Amino acid sequence: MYRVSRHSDFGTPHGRPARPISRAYGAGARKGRTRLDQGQPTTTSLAMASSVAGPSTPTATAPTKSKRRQNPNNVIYANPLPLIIETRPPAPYTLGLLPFPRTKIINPECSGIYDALTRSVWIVGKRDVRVLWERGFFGKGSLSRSEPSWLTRKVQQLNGGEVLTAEEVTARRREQRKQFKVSRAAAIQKAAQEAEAAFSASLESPATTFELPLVNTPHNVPRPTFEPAASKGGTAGRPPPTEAKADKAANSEEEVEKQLREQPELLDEDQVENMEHLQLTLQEAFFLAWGLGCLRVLDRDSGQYLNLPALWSLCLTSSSSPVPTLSPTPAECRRPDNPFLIHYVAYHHFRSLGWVVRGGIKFCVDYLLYKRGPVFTHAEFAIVLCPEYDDPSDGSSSPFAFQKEPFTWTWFSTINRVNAQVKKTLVLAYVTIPAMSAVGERELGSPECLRMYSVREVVVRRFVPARMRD
Amino acid sequence: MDDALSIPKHSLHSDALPAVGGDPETPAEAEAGDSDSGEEDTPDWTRFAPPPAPSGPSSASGAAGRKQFHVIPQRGEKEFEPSRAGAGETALQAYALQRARAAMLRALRPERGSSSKGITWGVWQPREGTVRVPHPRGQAFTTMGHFLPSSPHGGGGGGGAANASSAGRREARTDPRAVGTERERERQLLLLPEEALYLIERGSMFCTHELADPPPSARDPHTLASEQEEEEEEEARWDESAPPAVVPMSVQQAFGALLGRSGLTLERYQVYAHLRRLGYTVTRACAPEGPLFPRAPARPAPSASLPQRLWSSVRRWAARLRPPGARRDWWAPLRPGWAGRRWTAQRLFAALRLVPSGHALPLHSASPATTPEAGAGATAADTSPYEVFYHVWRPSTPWKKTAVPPPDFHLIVLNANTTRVPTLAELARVFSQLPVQPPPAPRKRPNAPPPAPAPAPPPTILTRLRRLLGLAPAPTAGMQQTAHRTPPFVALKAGRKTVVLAVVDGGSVSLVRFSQGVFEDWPMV
Repeated sequence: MYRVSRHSDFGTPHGRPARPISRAYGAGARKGRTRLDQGQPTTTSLAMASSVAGPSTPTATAPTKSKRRQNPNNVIYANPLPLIIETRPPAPYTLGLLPFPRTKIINPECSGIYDALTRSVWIVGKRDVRVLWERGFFGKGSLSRSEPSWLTRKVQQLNGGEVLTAEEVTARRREQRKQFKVSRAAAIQKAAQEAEAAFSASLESPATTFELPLVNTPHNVPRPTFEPAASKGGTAGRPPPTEAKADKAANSEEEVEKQLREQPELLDEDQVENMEHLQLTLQEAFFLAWGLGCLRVLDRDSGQYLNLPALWSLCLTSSSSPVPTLSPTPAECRRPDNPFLIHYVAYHHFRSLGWVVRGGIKFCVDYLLYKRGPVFTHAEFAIVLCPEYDDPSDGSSSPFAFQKEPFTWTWFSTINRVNAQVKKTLVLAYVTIPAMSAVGERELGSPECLRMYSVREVVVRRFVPARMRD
Repeated sequence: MDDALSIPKHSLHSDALPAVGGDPETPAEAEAGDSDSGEEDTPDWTRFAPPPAPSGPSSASGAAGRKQFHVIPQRGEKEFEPSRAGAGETALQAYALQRARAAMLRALRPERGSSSKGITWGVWQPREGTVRVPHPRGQAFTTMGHFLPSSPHGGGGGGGAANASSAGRREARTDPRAVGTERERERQLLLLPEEALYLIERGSMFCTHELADPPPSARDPHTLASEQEEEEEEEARWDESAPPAVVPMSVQQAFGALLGRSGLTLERYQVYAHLRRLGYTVTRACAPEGPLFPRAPARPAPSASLPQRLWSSVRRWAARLRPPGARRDWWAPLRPGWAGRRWTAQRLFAALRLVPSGHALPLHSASPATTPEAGAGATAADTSPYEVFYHVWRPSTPWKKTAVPPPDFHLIVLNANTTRVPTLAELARVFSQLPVQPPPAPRKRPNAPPPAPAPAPPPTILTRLRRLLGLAPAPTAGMQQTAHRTPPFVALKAGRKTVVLAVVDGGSVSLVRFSQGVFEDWPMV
């Protein structure tokens, strides 16, 4: 009776994570452009959605179902952090004098493995993967686009059903686009040939007036049609169940029974080995381990869990070169302009403001900021880090190879144009690096040095005078 | 954008096909919605073609007649490759290309003229670096030019400092009927080099060199026969109907003479001309001379009152003192709450905010030249290209020389090849001189009723005490009106202070706005 609460700020307090994703993507694949079509889900997703919605939904207690609550994404991704705040009514011994409810933080206590080659932390446990992805969108599936969905795709591929993960949706959209481009090019070619014929006809008979046609008029460009290509590789391992059903009708009863026994069973996710893991960057891993305290990192060599000081020095030396003779050596990494520190300052700053921070390499930037998460809307801001030294002489003695002087205008225009095309606002985050004389060994040995950095954001937008006259 | 399901936008609006040689019937297409296309639009020369002779039967206009185009028509999509691979262009493509070229040449061939009634004559004064305009004509001069101040001393008297600037020191307007004297000269409009160059290039002003027209006071007055003769000569010289009998400067000569004076570079001129052609009002941020230059009202310096300064220093001192038991454990930023502490999502995130942020923080810069408040003495400030050069107003802002509104935009002009993206110190110095913008107003929905002003709660004793001490602002009417809050993304994108950077790269101008981010004021949780 104390566990279930309707008033917790973090939403559902259930400890068991929900089943993954295909329902969520079937529902929210369009990222806010089109609304979730509640009326026509596919049969598989409907069945699974109902099985999920039954025992674990806490919102069944809510009397009114607004549009927001109907979206299953709001249920699955209700917690912004892996920590869950649970409120309990005041203890009975207070006798009602202290009417404040007591709160307790529930820590999921995930664990991961540090991989030195990729300088990242791998999360392998199934429950930990779901917890870290669904509460805060940490990490990236190593065999997927973002959410670890490889197992689902593999199982559904083996079962021969229709797949609805983000990867398949994207692949289908790209197929459509390619076909549309081919048919459009053919139509343009045809129109051009017709215009040529008309032109040469008018040349021969000068009496007819010739009008120069516009090649790309609407009636020339065909409507996009999509003929689904023959599904390739759908029946890799086992025949789909429909074929078995078709064969059944033609045979006698004995053969029917025999075939029923031989009919391959549908695979479940537990039967297929998951080759994928969730990969966290060092900034995400340190934020979870130190900032929230919900992650333990295992070191493969020693077989021990790393404590926080050891993890801190591991993260600092991750910027060192694996070749011992090249700089920077691990000893040289104890400097305030360590790239890990610069990135971590910005990551921690934006996470503490409530943003979901993910990598921005796709758009030539350092980080992307999402308001709630990638499954809800597109990222609104693209962050580019601009480190600035408090003491300019530190830059000349730095062994790290990152850009120490500001961008050229050409490169800046490139990044701005790329992000303007995808409707993101570019933000330059100026991170000031404290002088080496001001930061001692003691401060660098603990996260206390973070308070000596600072982050200042500068929002960049184009100014088009032709459109801003009023 | 590579969107497969979109149709090229221009073709959605073109109804009729342009006839060969005929005047076009349809008005120009609407501008494309893409924010990039506004800059790269080039005119469609076929629409500029003059209408054919009245005997042409192929005109398709019919009853519609010839319309005036208020918008420069856009060019459609071009065919970017020959249709027959390896065979060159087809006959149709060659015909279309020839037609387009002929239209362009036909549109550009006629000589551009301007009415003699609209021509202004100006005199370039190389010593002062300004152009003197005795009789300005046209609407352009409502937003251009400035006057020299009049001197309190008595006027008259020849000799002495004989150039026009000192003539301006003498008292003006003593005798309105005095034509052609130095007093007349004092009331004349002065143009900065970029303004004059813009008008010359446009064709609405002819500029003569001052050496061809020396001021009469420079001549020895004893050589003249009589004063009356002198006056007659002056009268003839400043007669409106007769243009001066000298050859005006050509555009090339004007460029050569005016560029480089008064801090005008080619990039700054290009930005000025670009904005003026679009209708904006542009003046310099630093007035070159005299208090009669139409400048924006000076902002009051944001100095804190004495109680506020005391209070802030007390706060800083208290923050440095820390009770020994409450030292933060840097290995556990979320300290386990004591019994009774109520965790919420907001408190959890607030406890994580350890990194200092915000533009209000002072810059801990080791080198003294990069401090933002260094003032005019620092050499870095003098040589930095990041200084606000132009004040820009929108075309819709009412602008008068006697009542100049606060500028809509502050503009910095940069050369793309010699400068880089600004560093934090340069940005801080620029932002320290700019005013704070209020957050943008929430968009009014047409159907929603206007928000009722929230009734202000009666001021408590504590707030009254704080207002007395000057720590809290006095209530204004504006604070009670906004019942709707600004959407957070709109406020985040607008920022607190904005400066426009015009980056000029060999003639192409790209304008970017840099705003101070306010992310710490708008957390997402």
